[in-house]
Formats: sequence, C-alpha cells, structure tokens
Amino acid sequence: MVDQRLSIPRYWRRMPQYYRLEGVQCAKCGRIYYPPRAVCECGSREFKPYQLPTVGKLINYTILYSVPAEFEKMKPLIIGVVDLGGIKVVGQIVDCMNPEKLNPGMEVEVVFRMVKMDGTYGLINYGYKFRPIENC
Amino acid sequence: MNKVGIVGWGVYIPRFRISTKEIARVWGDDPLRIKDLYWVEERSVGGPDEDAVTMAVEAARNALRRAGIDARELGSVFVGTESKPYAVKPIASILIEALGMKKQSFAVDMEFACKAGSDAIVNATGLVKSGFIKYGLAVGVDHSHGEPGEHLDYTVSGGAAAYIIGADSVVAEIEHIYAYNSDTPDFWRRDGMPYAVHGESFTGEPAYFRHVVNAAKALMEATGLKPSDFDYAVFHQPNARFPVRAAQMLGIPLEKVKLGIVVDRIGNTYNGAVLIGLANILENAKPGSRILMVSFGSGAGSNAFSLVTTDLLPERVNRARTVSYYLENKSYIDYALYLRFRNLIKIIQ
Repeated sequence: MVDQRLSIPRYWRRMPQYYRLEGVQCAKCGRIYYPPRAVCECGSREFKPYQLPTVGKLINYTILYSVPAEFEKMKPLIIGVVDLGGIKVVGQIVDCMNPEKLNPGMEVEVVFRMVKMDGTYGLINYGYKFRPIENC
Repeated sequence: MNKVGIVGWGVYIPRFRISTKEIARVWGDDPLRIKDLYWVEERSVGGPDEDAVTMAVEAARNALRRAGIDARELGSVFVGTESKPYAVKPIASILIEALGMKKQSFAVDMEFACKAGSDAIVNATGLVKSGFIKYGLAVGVDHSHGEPGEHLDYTVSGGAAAYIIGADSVVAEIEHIYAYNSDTPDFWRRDGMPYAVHGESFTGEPAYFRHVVNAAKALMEATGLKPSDFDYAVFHQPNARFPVRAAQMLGIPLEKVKLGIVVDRIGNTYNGAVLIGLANILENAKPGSRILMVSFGSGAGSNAFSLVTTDLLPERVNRARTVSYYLENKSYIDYALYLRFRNLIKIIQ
C-alpha cells in the first residue's frame, strides 16, 4: 500500500482559501477575515465570501535556511507578510533569485503554485504564493 | 447569432530562462551550430514549484481579466496538454476550483501532442455556436523537458495560453476552422516514459509541413481566401525555422509571420506555442486584421483558423500582463539549477 502523509480532507476543505485567497466579510459590520472565521468580533455569524486583491505590498520578509523536511529541496524559503488591501497574509515569496533586492513596500502579485507534494504517488497540494512584480 | 470568437486571452511564461549557449557548454556542442539549426536563443524554465496546472491557472486568470467577465459565466473548460502532472486527475477540474467557476461546467483535458490546445478552442467554439454555453475557456499548456543532452533539450520549455470564447464583446471573430489529421509516426512518448522520441526523419516533411500546409490550403480553398488576404500568420513553432518555411511554402511574406514567432526567446512551449504567438499578434494588431493560425500536433494533425479582429481589441490589451511583459521579465539560470528546478537530479536513497 502506498503511504500518504498529507491530510487530504484538510486540503480539500481549504481549497477556496488556498487557491483563490477567498476570505469572508461580515454581513453586519463589514469586517473582513482571512482566513475565515465562524464568529465576527461584532458577534454576527453571518458572512459572505470576500475575494482578496491579487496585488499587494510586501510588509517584510525573512529567509529560512533551516526548513521542515517536506521543503528540504526548496531551500532557501523566503517567507513574507503581504498587505492585500489592508489584510495581512503570510506566504512564500517566489521567483526571486536575489533576495537582497527585496524591500518592504515593493509590489507583489498573487500566484498559483505547488506548495507540497506527497511523495511520488500522493496528492500535489496547490496554493497561493507571492512573487515580486519587478524582476529581482 | 452574433459573431463567435475570442472575448479574452491571457498567457503565462515562467520567469526563468536557460540559454542555448549554457546548454551547449554542458553537453559539448557548438552553440552556433545549435542556434543555426533551431534559431532558438534561450528557452523558458518553470520554477521548482511550477507545472502545467499552475501555468494554466495563471494564463486563465489573465484571460478572465481581459474578457472582463466573472468566472461563473464560463460554461466549459478544456485543457490541451501533454505534460499533465497527474496521469489520472484532470487539470480542468483544478481550474474550476482555482478560478471559482461554477461546478456545472463541462470540463476535460485533451491530448493530441502540441495540437490539443487549439482543439480546446474548436470545442469551445462549437459549444458557444450551438447555444449550450455563453462562454468557454480553452487552455493550451505544457511544461515538458527533453532528454538531457539530446537536441530537444535545447528547445522544449514551459508556458501557457488561455482563450475565452463567446458570442458577445468579441475581439477576434473565428471566421473559419479547418482540420487535417493522419496517422503519421513522427514523434511520440510511450506511457510511463519520461522523454519523447522522434520517428527517424519524419518530423519535417511528412509531419509538420504536410499537415500545416494542407490545413491552411484546405481553409483557403474552402473559403476563397488568398494568402494576401491575411495580415498576419502564426504557425506552431517547435523551432523558429519551421514556421518561417511553412509561410514560404504558402506564399506568405516574412513580415506577416514575425510577430507570431516567440519560440526564439522562450523555446517550444508545445500546446502553448501557437497560442502564445497568436496572443502576441492580438496585442499588436489593429482592428480589422485577418489572422491565419495553424496549429500542429505530432501523430499528426493541424487545425487552421481564420480570425478577424474587431474594434474592441485595443482596449483589452492592457487589462492583463502582455506577452511582452513575460518576454522581458526574466532571470537566467545555469544548467545545474535547471536540473534542480526540473527535478532531474538523481538522488540515491
């Protein structure tokens, strides 16, 4: 039997958030949440889907050389915090060969990428990442 | 019924490039000889986290931006590819979720070597014309690689193009489509094998040129159009020599073909190739231009299309990233990094 390590139900349930950066907006007070919440700070439980913008600004980043086992062949990982229309989202920064050129405030765009692969037989997990619009 | 044609288009070309010179350095070839054979300076390489799925999503998102429609208005998604990351599990269904399309959409992946992307357009056009759907999404995408050190290593690359077909707000009407297919053993990849092989010297005359030229001629004979009626022509481009020669054989001058040739800067993106070339034409053509597009897929077959651009074309160009943006925004990598990105390093465990 082929060993599968990644949780398929968890991935499947979160596809709208992983694939499309879909958050929620409170129907009562208008607050936006990403990832989605079940109860708003105002107490309401009524939400509608909210699509985060696809271009944002890099707030800051860090470069990881010591990474979890499933990312061992992807080193170094650049992890950034990005402001997407006032919502702060953490994600991987990709397609940057010269991380020293990264600067807080620079524009990044949302891209769709492979995030994890469950060995050679298992599922490929896709999701959002960010890449600088200007080549770096 | 209104004109049926292209409502939006989008491409995606990965940021990384490897030069013919760098590949020749590693494999002991004369780079000038290789460049003279293929007229390819460099080719695109996807990052370590890119595959045909991710490129299809990016191109489709650009197409939606240009069309200015909601993904829920799409009634179908067809994906032409020969480099699916899953042997069993479609790219089309991942696109439904990634784009936020409605679940009641027709969806399938198609395979006919490098031609299936154009077949996706044929099928979407049929569904729109028959009134089954309002808009259909057709994607041509590949992220393949040739056997390291072999000649395909110099040209095979990655990229995607997506077209939204509809009957309102059309930027390029699809006037006519003609096909030419035959069982020709020019190029294939056996199931489970990583690399494709060529059938001796079948690639050129009995395969590419016969199918491309005959499909184009069939279209012109049936419609009465002449080579001089076309303002632009774009052909499948496994290298830059082939489309130039196909144009010569059809009596189409070089200046009408140049704009549609991108293989010299990004390599052969297989199912993306002719469709990225068409996108570059759309991004530069004036309204009222007639375009001849001929795809080719080994095995072998061609689809010939006649398209006429409309007044709505210019305003859509800058709604999304252009072919020029992707051609210019690039980072060069060496062969070692290429092998790592494409997972071609053998690790003994």
